[in-house]
Order: sequence, then C-alpha cells, then structure tokens
Amino acid sequence: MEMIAERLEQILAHGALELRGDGRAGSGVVLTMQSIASTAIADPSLHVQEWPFFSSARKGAPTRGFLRLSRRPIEKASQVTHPHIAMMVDEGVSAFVDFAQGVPPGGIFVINTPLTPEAAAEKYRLTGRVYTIDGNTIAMQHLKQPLGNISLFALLCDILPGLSAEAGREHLEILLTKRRLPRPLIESNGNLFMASVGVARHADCVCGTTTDHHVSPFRGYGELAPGAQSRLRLSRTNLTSAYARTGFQLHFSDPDGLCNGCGHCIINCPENIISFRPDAATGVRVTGAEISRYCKLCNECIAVCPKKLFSEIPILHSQAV
Amino acid sequence: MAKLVDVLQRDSCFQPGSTLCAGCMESIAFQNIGKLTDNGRKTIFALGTFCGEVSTLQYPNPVAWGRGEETPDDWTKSFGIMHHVFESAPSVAEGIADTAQQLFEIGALSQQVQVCSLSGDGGALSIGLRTLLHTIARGTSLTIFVLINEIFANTGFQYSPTTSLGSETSTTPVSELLPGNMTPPIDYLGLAVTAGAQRVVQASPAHPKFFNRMVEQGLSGSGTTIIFVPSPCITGWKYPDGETVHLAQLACETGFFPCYAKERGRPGELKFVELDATKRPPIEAFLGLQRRFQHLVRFNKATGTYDIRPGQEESVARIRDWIQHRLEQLQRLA
Ligand SMILES: Cc1ncc(C[n+]2csc(CCOP(=O)(O)OP(=O)(O)O)c2C)c(N)n1
Ligand code: SF4
Ligand code: SF4
Ligand code: SF4
Repeated sequence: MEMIAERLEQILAHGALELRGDGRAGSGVVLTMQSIASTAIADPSLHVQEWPFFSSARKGAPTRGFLRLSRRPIEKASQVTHPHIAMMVDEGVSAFVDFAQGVPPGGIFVINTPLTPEAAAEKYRLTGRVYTIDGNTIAMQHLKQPLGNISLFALLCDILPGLSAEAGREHLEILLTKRRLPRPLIESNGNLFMASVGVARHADCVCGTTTDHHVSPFRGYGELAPGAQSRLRLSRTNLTSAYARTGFQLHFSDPDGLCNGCGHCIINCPENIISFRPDAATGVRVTGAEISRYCKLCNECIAVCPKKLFSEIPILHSQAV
Repeated sequence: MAKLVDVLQRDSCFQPGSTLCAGCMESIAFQNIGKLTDNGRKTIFALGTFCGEVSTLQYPNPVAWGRGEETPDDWTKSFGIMHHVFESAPSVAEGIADTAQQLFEIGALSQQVQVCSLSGDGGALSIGLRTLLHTIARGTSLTIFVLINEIFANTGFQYSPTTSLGSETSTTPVSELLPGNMTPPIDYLGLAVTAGAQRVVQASPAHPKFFNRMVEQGLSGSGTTIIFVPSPCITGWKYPDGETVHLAQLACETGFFPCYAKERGRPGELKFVELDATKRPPIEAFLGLQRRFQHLVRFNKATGTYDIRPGQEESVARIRDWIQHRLEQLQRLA
C-alpha cells in the first residue's frame, strides 16, 4: 500500500493521475467518479477534472467515466486513453469493452467482483496491482440492490492520495442529497460505504501478455480516428445481449409443442430476434430467440406469451463469458 | 389487408443492435413499421432527433437499420433514411415525397415510393408543431408517425406538451410544494383533424391488428396520414421490466391514450376503450405501475390494488375528469 501511495503522489506532483471507469448505464460509474471529484476538490491543493462519456447510453448500455487528479492545473482535456487506474464497476460490461485497454505496465486495476485479485487477474489477463471488492454482495445487504459503485468509491478513497474514508462518506452524503434521494436511502448508502472500507483485497499479479489488450486507438484530440467517438458501439458488433441483467439470460422451452402461433412474442420483442418456423396448423411456431448476441432480457416476451414458454434463468458460471 | 401472421414473418428493415433501452416501445414500433413497409414498395424514412434516432443511427454506423450486408436484388427491399434536425421530420418527408413524385412523373423513377416520417412527441408537438401542422395542411401523400412517450426522453425526461397531469418529470418535479405537471396535455388529435389530415390515428403495436390495419391504410392511401403511437418509456416512466406492452394496453383501456381512428369527413372511432367511466379499469392501475406517479398512488398489499394516497384525491379526480372530458371530445370530433 505504502509504495503505491508514494507512486501515485509522484504522478500527482508531476502531471495528472488518470482514471477511467467502465460500467453500464445504471451501474453508477458517473456517481463513483463524481464522488471522487467532489471529495478531492475539497482539498485546495488538488485540481480535478471529471466527466462521463456516454452519448446516447440507455439502460444497460456501456458507459465510461474519466477523471484526472493533479497538484498542478490540468491542461489536457481529452478522453483518458492510458489510465493509471482502470476501474470496472459492472463485470457485465466486459463482454463489450476491454476495461484494461491502454493501461501501461504496472497499472492499477480496480474491479467490483466476488473474485480474488489473482482470479480476476487471470480472468481479465491483468499485469499490475489488482484490487477486488465484492460490492454487489455488500450492497445487497444495505440497499437490496446489486450496486457495487459505492464500495468501489470506498476502495478508491483508500488508495487515492488526498482522500480519506471520512471525507468520502461526507461528500457522498452531500452528493446524494443534491440528487434528491430520500433520507433513509442516503443513510443506507452511507452505511454501505462504511461497510466497504478496508474489506477490499489486493495482489500484485502478472498475467497475460502485452497483446492481450487492445492498443488505444489514439492519445487524445488531434489523433481522433473517424468514428472513434462511437467505437464503444458499432453496428452489428453492437452485441446488445450485454445489456441484460448481469448473470441472467432468457430461456425458451416448448417440449410439449404448446406454442399456438399467436405471434405476441414476435410482435412485441423490441429487438425483433424471436426465431420461428412456418407451421401449417398454427401459422408460425416459435423456436427460440437470438439470445447470445442481441437479447437485452427486457422480459416483454416473458410477459406477453400466453403459454408462458419464456423465462429468465441464471447463467451458470461455467458458461459465463 | 395482409394477415397478421404474414406480416410478422416479413423482413423488417429495423434490426437488432440499437442502443435503445431494453423494452423500449419505440423499438417495438420501429420493428413492426419496418415489417409493414416491406410491402413491395421502396420506403424513405425521415427522422427527427429523438431517442429512436440517436440510438439507432450513430454516425458513421446505422446500428439498427438495414436488411443484411448484401445490396438487395429487389429495389423495393432497399430503403432510404434522411436524418434531419430535431423538429423537421414531417416537412422533410413532405419534400422527399414531392420530389419522388415529380421524378416518377417525368419517368426518372420507375416506381412510386412511400414516405414515412418518424419523430418524438417533443419534436413533433412542441418545437415542431408548426411544421407538423403545415405539412398536414398541404396534404401530401405520406405517413407521419409521432411516438408519444409524454416527455423529451433523449435529453433527460423533461416535460413535453403531452405529459399527463400530475406526472413527475425533470422539469415538473414533485415535492411538498410542487405537484408535478399541472398543464393538461395538448389536444394533438384534434389539432391534426383541424389541420385537415386525411387520416388521424392513435394506435400502438400493443393492439397489433388495429395498428397494422391503420399503418397499411396510411401507406396505401392518398393524402396525409398521421399516426400517434403511445410509447411507454421504461426509463422515463420508471416502471418494472416486462411491463411495456401491458402499460400500452392499460393506457388505452383507462383512457389516457385511447386507440382512435378518423378518416376525413367521417366521424371518428374510439377503440378498445369504454366511454362509460365505470366500465373502464381504474386509472390507479395505470398510475400505480409507474414511479413518476408514486406521489399520487401507492400499492395496497392487503387488496393487491393501487390506492390513492391520502390528500391526493383531488389531483387524481382532476386526471379522471380530464380523461372523461377528452374521450367525449374525441367522440364528438367530426
Ligand atoms: C433545435 C434543437 N433543439 C434541441 C435539441 C436537443 N434535443 C435532441 S433530442 C431532444 C428531445 C426529444 O424528445 P422527443 O421528441 O419527445 O423524443 P424522445 O426522445 O422522447 O423519444 C432534444 C430536446 C436538438 N437536437 N435540436
Ligand atoms: S427478453 Fe424477449 S422480448 Fe426482450 S429482447 Fe429478449 S427475446 Fe426480445
Ligand atoms: S407468445 Fe408464446 S404462444 Fe404466442 S407465438 Fe410466442 S411463443 Fe408461441
Ligand atoms: S429513454 Fe424511454 S424512449 Fe428513450 S430509449 Fe429509453 S425507454 Fe425508449
């Protein structure tokens, strides 16, 4: 810990310490980044720059947040492409984006996961200091929702120079009050924050090779390739199945041939991905859906099927990507 | 009229891959419109800026529009998209339709094309109301779709002229002193009728047979057809997953968004909704599912229904009266 603190302090003194966070709309990347920013800005010797990057992100879509911290005025104003600290708020996003893209050797990785740092490093091919915290589980106890972002904020209050758990908690409260959250919810968020302090695990890991991660396409404005803004979401490669609730997928089963061809699921699937074959008796007979690539698990087909042939099931860990 | 079972097997030009919210009604509407326009004529769409545009056309990637990688052999399978500024979709569509007609008349186009405009309620009914009404008044043959989700969803759920009474939006907040939206929604159906539209329709894919029939009439008929598509917005209305179609049906049955069709010169017709308030499901059923109305109603565990919160009786009665008044007004519209 000591060594890391010293290294980060040095980066702050000479330039900007750069953070990048990946999550999905609703997973709280923005709140985490804003919390860090408002806590840090209370320290008059720190300069802070923070903004989210999500253009037309909708529920479940990948979102990104950027943050720079420095003891000097920050002049750079581009996206963070080579972060010192890369954070993953929701593991579901890993199907979409490489959260470790562009992290220089010896970087710091902060992940909301039940995995140990070693296992996470192995899974995501990480070399450097890996911190993990099982934020979803802690949040379930306090908020009854798997939202790991507050735990990650607590963890970062530990790591980042100039921040502390006390200050973090105070600023979280200010921020949530500004967002007009009801009082009891602010309390539980505060408790969640305190319960997360000091429970993270870390390890220095060497996994994977330099070619395991994408090279950053550019270093900032001026080098922006055409279409770079929409790199996160491309046509056809835009696999929206990653919007689905993390850990769950759609299941279709009709062993007794109950599908009556009413077509409700086909008409009301927003993604138009229900598969069927023509059938002499019923018109059409549904055979399933394009689950692996596009199903956002919106539950509409589950709700409209009169025969209850669709359901939502947990993805077994062995099958998880 | 094509049969429902045939339409649903058609090839939609709206494809998966959009970044619209999971369960977005705009998405459901698009994919059905995509199938209905796969009818042997080339289609040109004009889109204004709204959720349905920014989440499906991200320069340079039309993430959700297409019909496979290959250029289709059949010209009518191809389609065009003209994206224009926020408020102009109907008038841009009019320009396209007029140009295409002239090209057809001088023989430069071998077949006629069908033109559709797509925009949100904010785009069409607040900033774009002028262009919308003038386009309708000029009577060009085209089909205008307005997706009504009661808010400016794309920019963060601000009030729009169709926002329901009492609804919380980011610009009509609810607090001890503020009651949410206090302005009754604008009578857009009446405006379209008055402007002289050939067909004025309110329908959504939650009533698929009616929706399909109305869209087909619009595409094949002459004159301007305007179809308002009530579109529950899962993120802005704040309701649980899997309730979009259910809410669209409830919206009709409770009278918030009745299915409606009116041909010029003939009396209009209300569909799937009773004029007698006692025969309609209580509006609390519609309000209760959505957190934007949570200050008005709450769930009663004992009865399994939604009850009006003490002190809010007047606000809910005001909504009820407005619904009754509007249904009767629509019934009379000649
Ligand atoms: C002239 C102009 N003003 C404002 C905007 C910003 N803007 C983009 S989309 C949007 C809201 C769209 O709302 P609506 O038409 O209701 O569609 P929705 O997103 O709800 O589907 C606004 C205000 C713009 N693009 N152009
Ligand atoms: S849950 Fe069903 S309706 Fe929703 S995207 Fe998946 S297949 Fe389509
Ligand atoms: S909704 Fe159910 S019964 Fe109807 S077509 Fe789909 S799978 Fe078959
Ligand atoms: S915000 Fe509403 S209208 Fe926009 S994509 Fe989401 S559900 Fe659809």
